[in-house]
Amino acid sequence: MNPSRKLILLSLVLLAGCAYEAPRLQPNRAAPQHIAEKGLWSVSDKFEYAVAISGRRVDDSALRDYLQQTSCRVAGPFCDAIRTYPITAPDFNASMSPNGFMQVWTGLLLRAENEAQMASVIGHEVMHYVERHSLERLETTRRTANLAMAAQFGLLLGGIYGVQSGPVSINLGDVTSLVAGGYLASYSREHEEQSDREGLELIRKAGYATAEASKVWQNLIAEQEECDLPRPAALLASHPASKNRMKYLEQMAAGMSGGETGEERFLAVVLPHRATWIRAELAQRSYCRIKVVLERLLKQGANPGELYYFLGEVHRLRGDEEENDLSQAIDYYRKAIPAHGAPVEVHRELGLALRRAGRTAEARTAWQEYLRLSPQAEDAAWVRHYLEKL
Amino acid sequence: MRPASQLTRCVLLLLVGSLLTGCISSKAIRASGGTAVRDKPRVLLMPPDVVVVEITTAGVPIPRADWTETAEKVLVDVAAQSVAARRGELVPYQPPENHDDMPVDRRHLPAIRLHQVVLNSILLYNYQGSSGGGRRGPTLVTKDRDTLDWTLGNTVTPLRAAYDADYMLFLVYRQASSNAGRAAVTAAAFALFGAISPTSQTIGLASLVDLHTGDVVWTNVLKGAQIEVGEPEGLRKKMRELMQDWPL
Amino acid sequence: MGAVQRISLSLCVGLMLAGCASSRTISPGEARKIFGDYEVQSQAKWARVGFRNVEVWTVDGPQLQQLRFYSEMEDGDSLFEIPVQTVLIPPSVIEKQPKYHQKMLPHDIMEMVTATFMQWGAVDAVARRPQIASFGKRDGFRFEVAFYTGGGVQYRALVLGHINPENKLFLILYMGAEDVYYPKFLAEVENILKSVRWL
Repeated sequence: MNPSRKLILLSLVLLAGCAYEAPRLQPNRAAPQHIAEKGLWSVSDKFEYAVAISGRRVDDSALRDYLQQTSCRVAGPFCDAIRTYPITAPDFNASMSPNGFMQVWTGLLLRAENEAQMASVIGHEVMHYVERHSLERLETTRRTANLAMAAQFGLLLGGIYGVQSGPVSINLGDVTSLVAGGYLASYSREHEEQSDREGLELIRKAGYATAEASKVWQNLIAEQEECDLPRPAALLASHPASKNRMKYLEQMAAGMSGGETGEERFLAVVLPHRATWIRAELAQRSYCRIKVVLERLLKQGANPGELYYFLGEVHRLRGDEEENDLSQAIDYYRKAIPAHGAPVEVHRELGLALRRAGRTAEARTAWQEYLRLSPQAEDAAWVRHYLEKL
Repeated sequence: MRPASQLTRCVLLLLVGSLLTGCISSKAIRASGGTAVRDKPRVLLMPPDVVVVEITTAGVPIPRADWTETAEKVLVDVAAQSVAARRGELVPYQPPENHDDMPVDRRHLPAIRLHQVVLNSILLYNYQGSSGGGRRGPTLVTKDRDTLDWTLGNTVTPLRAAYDADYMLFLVYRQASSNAGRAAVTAAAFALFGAISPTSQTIGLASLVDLHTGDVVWTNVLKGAQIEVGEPEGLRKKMRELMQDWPL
Repeated sequence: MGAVQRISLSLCVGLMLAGCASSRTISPGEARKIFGDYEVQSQAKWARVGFRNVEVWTVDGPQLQQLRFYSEMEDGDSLFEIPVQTVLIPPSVIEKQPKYHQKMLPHDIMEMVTATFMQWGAVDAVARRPQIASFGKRDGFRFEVAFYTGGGVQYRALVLGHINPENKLFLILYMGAEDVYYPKFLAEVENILKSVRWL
């Protein structure tokens, strides 16, 4: 067992003892009074500043406003206390800092099917804030001897030396981001379940279709199972077993009726960004996961041409990892061409896949079609060169 | 948890040297070409980045807003005095009105962001491994370890225009303070897990950028063991050390 | 948490790259042989850091600008540098690195480079200005990439490549902060690209 495993085990044993409970926050409360909570807020403010000026925060006012408005609708009287930022990062995740600073990853926005699904995650995060789970976690830890945390914090205090050291690495490794961003946000099983239940109540009050909440988990479980993920995806990592979680959300929602999904509004904001986010996932080379997501979105139906195009990309980029990848890529591109939303590059990519598969005559036709449709393309010279060499 | 511990290992490798140094030490470095000091300099103070954390006996870090506030106040105070001593003026950075959206003016972002990378390079090539620990820092044959040869170029122009300032000053301060019972726990942690959890740690960084040229003209790094936050005079003394030998 | 893992990965990689104990000098006017395959000539003084599969030059440190030379990349090779001594990178991460394949065309190389940048933490990496170019008087291609770092610094990259008749890839990649550090040696790099001579 490596030392970090030992530390985790020990800390779990120690944490099992006495849990600290803080009364929930009241709306419109000015500033925290509790000494540890003041500290958490102060360090979270610094963290929020760092993230807000970082390159990962999506500087798009339409998207940011949309997230903020949805957060307000969900948070109700706590609207003023919550600030929600879209963060460029593949994978499904969202997080809440103790001071009401919320991050929603673009990988989550890509995977959500409608506003109600997104709102259910926001509701969950808002309840971490309202129920002061960070404070509870900190106080519970304080009351037990958690050496694991000490070691990590101690080391990372020096971490300013490590901040941003790669040619292209994120600003992380400072105690600020650790405290405020995620370390204390690794809440307990009870915290997660409480946020799930109360979050669902929030979105019901806000007029959303509560049945959508369990679908978020259902979709993530599908992604996980289909792709044999060794560890649960991000948000699922916190303890309520995902299936269990899906079930109780489903049961709770069964007792509620009505509400909207807000699908149209959601798609209007999200669709213009979708290709960029899919590319970011493709760059991670988690082909199976992105394929599961694309196939699901295809069932939902918006911009099928774009989705077929990227399904083709999944198979073309995977190349010869699995049998028939190239022929599947070619099939998907051909499905994309007549469908709504396919980019003109689909012809170029089709040509690339055909050539690689040794079908040169068809490749020629595809590339000629690309040049015909897009004669001014920046890469026309390259494609003409390919044609000459065929 | 696992990724975090991976990160920790990575940072650990690089930091072990600097963490083990005992007392407070500081090292100021100036630009290679020297600095043309301007009379009555206007110095723009960028938002100070200060965090003070208490490490409890059990080893739990508790961020302390009150200590952070005190440390920031003293730090800014000392900086203002240092500028006043040159008949200059310290001007704080003003966040834009619509603070909720972006905490700094977008036109100032390139300079602020580039400064982060430049400061990191300075830490790596001018400071890393310079004090004890046995681990030698990396070197570049193109850079002299004892002088500064870094610039933000004309990214600083919008800042100079907005504040009519001659310099801008960045201040970073991190401190973990522990109480007495902590040392024993550290020893135990080391024995059990081979992990090093320092009892207390202070790191202060200051860098001064000439807004006329964009050049980083002076940096100082203060690091070492505990400073008593409860004693403002002691704190003040250390902060003065951070500002010592500055070129204005 | 995949992303954190990647972040810490790029942090480690960056540190190892940047933190390599020592660098060697490339003197002005020196003709430098790249893995015995081709030769380039510099006019400025550079610091050189060596890896098993790539040679890296820099003046102000790899965080601010770097020039990377790759040679004879084969099936399954990635742009990822393998430091001479390291144990920190888990195999699962190395597996997912975008890899070269001998049937690739310039468009595929462009995708491989941008995806690699994104795995290293680049935000919104976009390739542009694809051109036909000469790599030491042989058929080659070049393109640029623009992206932001996680810290928000705008970066630019310039890539010159050549695929030889045995389908091996040769690549020279220059990247740096768009403000100050990339333009600082752009002219020098253009000259280096022109100086490529096959051995």
